[in-house]
Amino acid sequence: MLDLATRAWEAVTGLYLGLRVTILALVRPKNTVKYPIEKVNVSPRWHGLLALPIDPETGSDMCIICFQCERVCPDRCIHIEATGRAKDRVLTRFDIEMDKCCYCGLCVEVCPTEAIVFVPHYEASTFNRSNLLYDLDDLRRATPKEPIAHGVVRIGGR
Amino acid sequence: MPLRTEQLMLNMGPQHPSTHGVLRLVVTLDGENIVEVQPDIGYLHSSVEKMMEYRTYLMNVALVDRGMDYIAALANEEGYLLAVERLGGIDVPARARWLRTIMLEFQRLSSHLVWLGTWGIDLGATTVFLYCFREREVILDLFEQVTGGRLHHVYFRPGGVYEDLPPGWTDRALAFCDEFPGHLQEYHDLLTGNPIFLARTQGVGVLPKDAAITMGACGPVARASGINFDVRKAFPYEAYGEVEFDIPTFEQGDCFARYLVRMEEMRQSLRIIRQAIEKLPPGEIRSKVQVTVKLPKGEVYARTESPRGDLGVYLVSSGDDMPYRVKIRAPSFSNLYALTEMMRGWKVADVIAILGSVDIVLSDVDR
Amino acid sequence: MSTQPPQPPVPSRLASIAAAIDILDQLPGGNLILTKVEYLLNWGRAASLWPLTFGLACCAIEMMAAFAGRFDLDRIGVIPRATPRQADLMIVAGRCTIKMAPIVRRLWEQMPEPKYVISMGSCATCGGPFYYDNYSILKGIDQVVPVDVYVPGCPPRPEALIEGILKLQEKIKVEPFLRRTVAAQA
Repeated sequence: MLDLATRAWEAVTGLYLGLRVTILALVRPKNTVKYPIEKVNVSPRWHGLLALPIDPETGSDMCIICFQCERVCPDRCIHIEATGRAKDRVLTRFDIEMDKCCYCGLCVEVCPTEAIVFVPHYEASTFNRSNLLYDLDDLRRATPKEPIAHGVVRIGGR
Repeated sequence: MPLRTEQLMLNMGPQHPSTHGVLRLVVTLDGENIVEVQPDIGYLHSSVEKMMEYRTYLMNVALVDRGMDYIAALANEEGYLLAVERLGGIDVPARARWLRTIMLEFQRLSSHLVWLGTWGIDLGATTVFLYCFREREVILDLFEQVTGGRLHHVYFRPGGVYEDLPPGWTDRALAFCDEFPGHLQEYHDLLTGNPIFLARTQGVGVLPKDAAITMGACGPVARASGINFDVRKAFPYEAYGEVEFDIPTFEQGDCFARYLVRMEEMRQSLRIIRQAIEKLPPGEIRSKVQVTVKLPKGEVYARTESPRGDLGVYLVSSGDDMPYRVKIRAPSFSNLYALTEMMRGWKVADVIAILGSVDIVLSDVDR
Repeated sequence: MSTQPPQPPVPSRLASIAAAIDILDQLPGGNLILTKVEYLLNWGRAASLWPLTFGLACCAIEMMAAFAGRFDLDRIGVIPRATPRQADLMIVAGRCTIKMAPIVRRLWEQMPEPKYVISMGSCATCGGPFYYDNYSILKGIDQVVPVDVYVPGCPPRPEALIEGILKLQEKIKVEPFLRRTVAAQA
């Protein structure tokens, strides 16, 4: 009899404690983001899509064709080709296979001129896989018009 | 005269909502009692050990995030980079060591929250999942502000970390540390006091201490069986030697003890984070290491405490800029082996509860 | 041994739909009615996509995060089902090994028509980080099942997955659903 009473008491208290948490959550502020209408502000360091920003002074890319990013890419998804010699070198091909890319940011890290950056965009789903091969035009177009803080904000000290 | 019965072979998985990935369990049943459980692994074998032999030491940081235990990506980076830094004699600045400690403990929190939520779903307590992921999103936002990734942060580098903390981050982290104990109490209210939860976990899936040692169980599973061992205390790495924390140990060895160990570990993680943020020294965050760093000839074994247990990386270098051979001692793999011992003799409905309490990640088992 | 005489074919629901389409085609303005009916059906299907909870690797964690409170996929009628028989959408989340590929194919075959596949993340799309120097990972899930929407990212944010699902809804809404079903059965 006593055992039954103890068990009943445990069931009642357990139910009460659990339901209290649930009911308290009702009156707390909501944390649901209604995605297509509202959007989360992604952090400036967010590893989103890659882009080649255009230098406002010269009107061309900042890439100096050093092939560092192509060499460091763990997925080997960056393909660069150039024509010309020495200072007259012109970028003819800069392809990033966005479907193969693992968004690790090593290319952004090694780039000496910050020619390749992360942009805080992530919506790029497509019906066709070939759309995910970003060539030079796509990458230039992916750069937002306003200046963005990219993945190399370094702050020293505390 | 006893009734003559036949044993029944039951396949669980690889597509099963509560096998936590793509595990296949071949369960031999006598009526409703489990006679034997044979895990069939290899459905997520991504050959990451072989792939690491074709990539430089820096590229491998991006690879170990994905190829190994994906819920705790930073713990993998730590295990791998500890081996690289020990073999190459690479010096890590003090601030980087403390930053790594903070990040590793946040990773432990987020990993345990995933475990608690999914185990709650397995046991029928679906609401716990929503509460756990609410707090996990806060941690992921903190991660995103520092590392730029939610799940896979390629943040640690040979000889330090990539970026420093953004301004105001420590305040946000401390604010989270202040409010998280209240949320932990919520989980306790939802689960620990619930008679159904207690009936399904208390005394179920007992792993005795000697069996735990024989089967090579590690991490929270071993600590729930009364083995007082933690790599962070026994072989301190990074800044773990300079912070105070306790190792929660329980003697029962059942599912409930494993649950309590992880809940207490979350509290200890908060303690470590608070101390680390307080003691965070100023200064350099990364020593000068070449992009294609070449390690001297030799071999090294580094062990770390990942959220799942004892993660060891054995690295052989032939003096090149790529490893000659890497062997990963995965904690989930040895815990999966102990699973066969835990499940023997229990009812078929307990398979889910016991499997969930071990907290295996199939990517860690198969590599 | 006696062979049964061949039974006359039973007029199924599909056959009656086919007959209705034939009549509507001949009527003036019949196409308009058919289009409106199809629009309604497609609207209902697009607003209640039930995916199979089928996690392979890391992207499954982000898929779980999308189902959880913050991004709440239930808002747009996406409710996870644990069995392929009740699902009409398969989210392939994560890398698929060669050992797992026949099982993915079988799960896809167990799903009732009409069915859709979303390839989530780099690994499912083309092998991603595991494309080179690898002997065990399938180079893209589209070698096994037909994929409707590719979501890039490693792993994609939950928002990116929701965007992929919204994109799939756009595709469903303009499908000639009735005509295609009848033609497939004929």
